[in-house]
Amino acid sequence: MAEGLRGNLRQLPLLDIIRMLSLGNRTGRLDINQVGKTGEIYLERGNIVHAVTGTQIGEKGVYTLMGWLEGDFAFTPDIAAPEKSIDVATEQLLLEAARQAEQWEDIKEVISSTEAVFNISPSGSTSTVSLKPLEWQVLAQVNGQRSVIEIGEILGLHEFEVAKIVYSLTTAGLMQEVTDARTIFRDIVDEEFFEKVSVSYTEVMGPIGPVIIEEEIQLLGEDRKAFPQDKVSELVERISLEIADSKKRAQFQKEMVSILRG
Amino acid sequence: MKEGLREINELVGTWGSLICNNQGEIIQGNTPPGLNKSALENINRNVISMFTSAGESIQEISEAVLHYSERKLFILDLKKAFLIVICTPSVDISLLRMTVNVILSRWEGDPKVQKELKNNFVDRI
Repeated sequence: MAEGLRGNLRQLPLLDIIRMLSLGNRTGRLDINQVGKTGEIYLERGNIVHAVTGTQIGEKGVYTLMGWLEGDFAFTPDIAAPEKSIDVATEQLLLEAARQAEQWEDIKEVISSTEAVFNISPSGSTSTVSLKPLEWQVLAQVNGQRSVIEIGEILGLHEFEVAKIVYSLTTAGLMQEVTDARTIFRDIVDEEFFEKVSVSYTEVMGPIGPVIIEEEIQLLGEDRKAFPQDKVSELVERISLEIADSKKRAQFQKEMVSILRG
Repeated sequence: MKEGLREINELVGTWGSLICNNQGEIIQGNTPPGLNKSALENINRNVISMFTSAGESIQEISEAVLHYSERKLFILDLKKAFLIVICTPSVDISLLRMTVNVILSRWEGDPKVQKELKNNFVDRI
């Protein structure tokens, strides 16, 4: 192995680098750098003997680093480990890392990254769900602002464990990823507004009015309890178009425009 | 008519509005001072030609929203005239459409507005 081996994880995944170093019976330190984060893995005659990144040491440190998909790496030969935190055979460690990497592939279909933020799904699950204590702890930390990594830090869990739980809770319909900052902070319409709309609309459409409102909310892919302010006029316009009489429609729109324009 | 245009302009994201006859001449306008009359009438004529040159296939269409990088144009074919609203891209089109509908509904019953439209009626280009 050439001295001063270095490169980027996008070109060569960490698992492959360690496999190469292990097969070559190398001794030394592998440094991995991501923006704002660093990690070290020490090898002794091809065996991983120590790993550290942030507060994660030993096996946890290895698995955390294996989850890094981007960053620079550099191997410096003949540096001895400051301590030995790993007793597990390297082959076993790599097998577990490979298994986790496979699971990450499934997880990534639901969780865009460990920086992703989730909130509790307003619609919830369609069936009964029983939660394990750890799943409940993760769910309790989800607030539409904390990332997967941050939840892991709060609970003292490895991000892979948190991601697995988030994955299962999301596929069960209990959580959803917040796609962008605008979604996190977007204003929600209060119930008082819906009551006003419902009263005015029922006067025109009769008892079917509230049903039409609910239908249109669903067609917009939203939920009344968390209806975004920026879709209100679209909703009002859609329900107003259901009013066949143009004069009644204009009257309803007049009331609504007055409310919407404050 | 002037009052109606003022109400439209009060909507956030609306930059100016006008009513022009079927040949693009402004009947009533409430637009920023920077926009001169002849430039606006050029825009009107382009917009009207879109409606008229499209032929019978889109005769039923009475409304269009043209998207540009810096502005949106909301155009409504009133048959006797056209209403054109110049907006910023962030305008709430649903709210604008409802606001306009409320005003048009009021104009329908307003003999003064109807007389103004009738007096300015010309055939399409």
